[in-house]
Order: sequence, then structure tokens, then C-alpha cells
Amino acid sequence: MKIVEPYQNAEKIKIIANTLKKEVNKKQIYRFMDFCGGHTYVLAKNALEDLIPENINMIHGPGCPVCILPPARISIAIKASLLPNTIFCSYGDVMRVPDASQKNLFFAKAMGADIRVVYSVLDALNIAKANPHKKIIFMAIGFETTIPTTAIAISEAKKQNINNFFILNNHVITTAAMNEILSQKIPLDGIVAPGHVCMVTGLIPFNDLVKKYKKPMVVTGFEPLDMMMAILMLVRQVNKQTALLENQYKRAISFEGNLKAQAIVNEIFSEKKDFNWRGLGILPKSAFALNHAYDMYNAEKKWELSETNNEEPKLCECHNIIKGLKKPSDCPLFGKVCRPENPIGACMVSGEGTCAAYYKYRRIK
Amino acid sequence: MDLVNGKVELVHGSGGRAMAELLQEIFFPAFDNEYLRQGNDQALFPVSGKRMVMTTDSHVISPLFFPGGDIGKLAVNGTINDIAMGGAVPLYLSAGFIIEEGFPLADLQKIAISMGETAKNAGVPIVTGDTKVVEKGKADGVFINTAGVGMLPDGIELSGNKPRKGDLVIVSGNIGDHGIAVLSCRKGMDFSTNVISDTAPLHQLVRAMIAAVPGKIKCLRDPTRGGLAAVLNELALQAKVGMMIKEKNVPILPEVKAACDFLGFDPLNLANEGKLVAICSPESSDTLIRAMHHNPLGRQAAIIGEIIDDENNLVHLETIAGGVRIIDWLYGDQLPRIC
Amino acid sequence: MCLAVPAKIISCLSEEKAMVDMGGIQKEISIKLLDNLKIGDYVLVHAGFALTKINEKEALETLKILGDLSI
Repeated sequence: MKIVEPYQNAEKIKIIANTLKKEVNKKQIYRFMDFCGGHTYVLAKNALEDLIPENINMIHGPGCPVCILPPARISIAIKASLLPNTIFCSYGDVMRVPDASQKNLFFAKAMGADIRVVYSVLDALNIAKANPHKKIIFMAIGFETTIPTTAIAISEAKKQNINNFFILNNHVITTAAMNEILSQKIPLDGIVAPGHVCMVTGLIPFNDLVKKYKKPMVVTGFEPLDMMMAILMLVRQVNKQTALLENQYKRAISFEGNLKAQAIVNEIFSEKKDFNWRGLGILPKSAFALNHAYDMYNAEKKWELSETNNEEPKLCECHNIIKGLKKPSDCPLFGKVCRPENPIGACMVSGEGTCAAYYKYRRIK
Repeated sequence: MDLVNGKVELVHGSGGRAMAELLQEIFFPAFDNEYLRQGNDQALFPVSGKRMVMTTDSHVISPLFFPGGDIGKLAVNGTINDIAMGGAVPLYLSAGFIIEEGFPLADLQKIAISMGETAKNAGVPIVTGDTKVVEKGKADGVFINTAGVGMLPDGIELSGNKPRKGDLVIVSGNIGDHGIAVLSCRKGMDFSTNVISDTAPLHQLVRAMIAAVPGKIKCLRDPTRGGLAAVLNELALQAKVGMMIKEKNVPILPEVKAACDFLGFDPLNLANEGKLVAICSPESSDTLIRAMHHNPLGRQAAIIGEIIDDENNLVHLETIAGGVRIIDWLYGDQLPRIC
Repeated sequence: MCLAVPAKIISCLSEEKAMVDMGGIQKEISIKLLDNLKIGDYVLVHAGFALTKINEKEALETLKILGDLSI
């Protein structure tokens, strides 16, 4: 595809790598957080950190909606999947996330739960239509990018009178977590901001953070060249001592974002008082709740699924890793007990979790 | 592995590390003997002064019919290939069926005809079989087991412990086609593509390869479940070496790459049913590649990397961007992801 | 965090659905979250939904920075 290939081109990547080498101030350490798990994945899969100067440290942030699910949310999902006469639908990402007792949705499946991995929430809605005598519970996860898709499904369910479709809502808000990271005075010189969140939200929420915390920020795409360009743009900002929001991903992101998506989200959801993020703790206004008018689609209310044990595993360093305070190799469990086939902490579960990306791609370092 | 309270999970059958553990802890100790200990896809044993190989493979796949093949074709080719990867000439096959009550006879006939044709074209007849029917719900349509025997000609010694530093890693063609072809028609996936399964018997290709560079091929493997990533890691471990693979040299159809991009999959983990990996001495690799290009099943054959020293037996990948990362094993089936 | 891939609209099936091509893979997606799409447009698809139209001019514009850099 002509609009993608140039952004994967090795020669172009090399040009940026060489420019970086020339432009970095050798006496300075540059600490940049790639907030989004997708960016962590791009760095690891393409081994881009081999191409950037050693005094640029990439810190991998908490931007993975699976990694930040607290164990209690998984316990509830397991409980919901085992309700009688239920088909539980989930994105593949959640299947291996462990709860506090190391059980996951595969365990529920082995116990007899009917669990279907879906690619889109609309697949779950279609399953509901095809199985009117069963209840379909959809594990709704994701940041601002994914929330509009769940909102559409609920509005469709209402419009089409589909009364056997329910969601287990875990939708969370990126900027709340970014605000938390920036407010903690973690040493950071710049942020690579999540491009695909911005295609929905637009730039305003991120610009507000730049103004509030005076940190350079570059919104960027997910091809290797995008990532290299973003790092160069951050280096230049640091060198010039500016703190601006720059948009490297103009081909996909407009200033105002997707207004239609924002409108449907606001119709169905509102900001929740708080949400418990794995690793970050309870953050105010960091998640979305279904508006009361849509309570009938809320699986938790319908079956009074209450949260249970929310203890995060001892020794697990996930909470420090997703803040960028520690590297996976600093964790005593990493690569020993905690491996992709037996994840202890959530950073190991998703392919783009920091620990999984390190284990899968960079075990040698 | 928790042998007291643990349960078999799907991951134990997906060809990754979990399955390796299952074999190590349950089957190897229970069956232990010198032939099993060879640890190859086929067992080699003496019969009346000659060398015979034997292998068996069970096939469970959903859907049963997919672009480019069906479960029957897969069952025949899979067993032929397991024999061929030892350098042996496949001779006879068996076929065992476990059929679910209510399974359409027309489908069963379609599968049987497909198996018969595949076996006939390959010149490896199905000479015995078995049929069992289980109650509805106790199986998923039909499961097929095939076993096969073959003879290993004198002078051929292929083994996964032979690769040495400097040897080259060759793959016989585009990887991941089978995985994507099957996924494209799996319920709930709903995408369409021209990619078809690569299922094919590889014994003729193997024969041509061995004839082209006698004694120079160190070992052969077919990257089925677990894909290229699993096979490369298995070989690195078995030979106690490392590998350096060049991403830009690994042949992958653009459609397969595109499907992987939107599903969040890695083509290196996708199953192949008509491809092989060969490790060969460097001085013979050009001759070998030329011979492979002459065979329809080896037309896209490519040298993808080389054996290096590595005490950790890791498989390294030089990415297109120019960095180096490792290629890890699959730890379960790949699942479509949204993030 | 959010996997989204570029796709080209090859046919509009209704106000709500379109068929897209992603590098040789065809899939039906929802276009409920975007207005005014036409055949030939590029969009980014996330979890079965087109979420944004790709601006081809900007895609080329962004690359121009490379012209000013020397190896």
C-alpha cells in the first residue's frame, strides 16, 4: 500500500537514525516515554532501539488496556462467563490475563464456559441476534479508540431491540493515566503520545497536558519510520528547550478528532468517579461508566457481579514497570516464574505488554 | 506442570513450550525407549538389516474444508512429510477415523476421495484403517489419525543435532499460507483472500534435494504447528547453536503479511503444511537452492540465515529496519487482538 | 495500544457497511463512525470499524522532512 510502505522503508529509517546521531547532545540523557503499548511493540518488533543513540532511553508506559486491568476485573469476567445459559465474548487480548488466583478465561473455558474470541464487538452483537435464548456478555475493554465501537453496539442493540446483549465494561481513559504519570514527577524529557487514541479524541486533551506539565509531546503513528521521526522531533524539542504538542501523524489525526465517535460515546457513557488501574492504583475520572439510561445492558448490575480479591501478585514489579521506573529485567519474577505461558503480572500477558515485548523480542539485553 | 490438580488445556496441544513440557513429564517417562529418545518427528529402527522409519499424526482442524485442501489431504501429506523429513522414502500409510454421530456421509466421502487421490498422486498408498463413531457432541465432525512407514536409504544421515556454525538456513517457500487460508474461513473471522493452503507432500522435493548435494544437508524439518519460529528454536536447542535470520530474506506473501497486520499475528508463528526448513553446508547451498527452484514445491526457496555460536541457543532476527531481536517460540495459539 | 490498520474502501455496501481491501485481504467493516466515505478512500480500521480517513496528501507531506536530512 503506497501510503504505508514509505513508512517501513529501511533507507528512510537509516536517514533518521543518522540524523539522530548528529543532533543528540552527547552529554545529555534523553528520557522519553512511549506511552502506548502499540509503540512499545513497534520498537521491540523492529528492534529500533538498536538504531537510536545510547543516551536516548525509551521508557515504556502503561498504555495497554489489557495490562492495566486489575485482577478483580478478571475474576468478574470469569464469574460472568460461568453464568448459566451464557455466551461470553472477548477480544483475544484478555484471554490469558490472570486474576489474583492465577485463573484466566481459558481456565473458565476448561470449566465449561462458552467463550468466543471475537474480532469486533459487532461479532458479539451478531452472536446475540443468532442466539436469542442465550445471554451474550461482551468483555468491553479499551481506551478512547475502542470505546466508540462499544457505544455503537449498544446503540444498535437498543435500536434493534436486542435484549440479550450485555457488556462487562472496562473502558478506561488514556489522558487520566498520562496525567497521573506526569504528576508523579517521574524523570521524563518527552512523551510519544498514542496516535490511535488521538484519531478519536483529537489533540486538545493532550495539548492540555503539555500546557499543564510543560513536557514535549509528539503524537505519532505505528510504522517504524513514524516512531523514529517522533524520537527525532522530541530530541529537537529538548535541544531547543521547547515543550510543544507536535503531530507527526497528520495523515490520520485532525485537531478535533472524530466528532461523530465522540458524540456517540457521550450519549452512552459518562466519566466514572474513579477506576482501579493495575499498577497505578485508583485514578479519578479515569474510566467510562454506562449512562443510567443504558443500565439494562450492564452485566454487572444485572447479575450483581461484585468485585472480589484484588490483590496484585507479590514481588511483581508491574506497577513500577508501567510507570517506567523499572525495567522488566529488574523484576525478580521476569523470565523465571513469569513467562508468556504463565504470566504473573499483566505486563506479560498482552503481546504489547512491556514484559511480553521484552521477553519475546529482546531477551538478550 | 501440576500433575496432581492440573488439567489439560488447549495450549498443551498447540505445539509450543507447554506441549514440550507435557511430553517430557508424562509421555517420555511412561514410554521410555531408545527409539523414542531420538526425539525426532519419526522413529528410526532396524528391520532385517535395513533402516525403517515410522511416524503417526492426528488431525483435528476447524473448518474441515478450507481453500486449497481439507482435513483428509492434510492427514495424508502430514504423515508423508514427517517421514520425508528424516530423509526416508515413504511407503505405506494407515488411516484411523473418529467420527461424530450425525456427520454428513457426503462430507465423509468427499474427505475419503480427497485422501485417496492425495495418496495416489504421492505414490504412497493407504493400506489399512480403522473407523469409530462417537455420540453427538463427543467429537467435532471428524478426527483423522494417519500413521506411515518408510525406508531410509543407506548413506542418508539427517539429524537436528548436526548443524554447525556457518551452515545456512533454507526455507522452501512462502511461509504462513496455510495458517491464513484456514483462518480466513474460520467462523467469526470473516475475511476473504486468494491465499490457499500450501498442503503438499514433500518427499519428491526431499529426494531431489538429497540427490543434488549428497551428504551436505544436515537436517530437514517441516514448520507445521508453531510455524517457522518453533522449528528454528527447536533446531537451535537440539544442535546447541544459535541462528541469525534476516527478516528481509524470509519469503512471505504480501496478503499473509497484511492478514497478520490486522489480526495482530506474527507470520513466523503461522502453520505451514507444504514447506520445509533445511540446514546445509555453506559450500553446497547454491547448488541446493538451484535444485529446489527446479521443483514446483521449492520455487520460492530462499536462504534466510545462518547458524551462529550462541550459548543460549537463541534465534536472532536482523529486522528490516536494521536492528536485531530474537525470535521466540509460540506459547499458545495466536489470538486476534485489538491492542 | 490500539491496533489499527490502513484499508482501502472497495465498495460501499450500505450507509453502515463497506468492503475494504487491506493489502490483498478483503473484509466487511462498519463505517458508522465516519461520514462521506467514497470508493478509493483510505481509512484506518480498528476492531472492525473505520475510525479515520487517511489524508494521502499529509502522508506524503510528512515524508518531506526526510528530503531536508542528509545521510
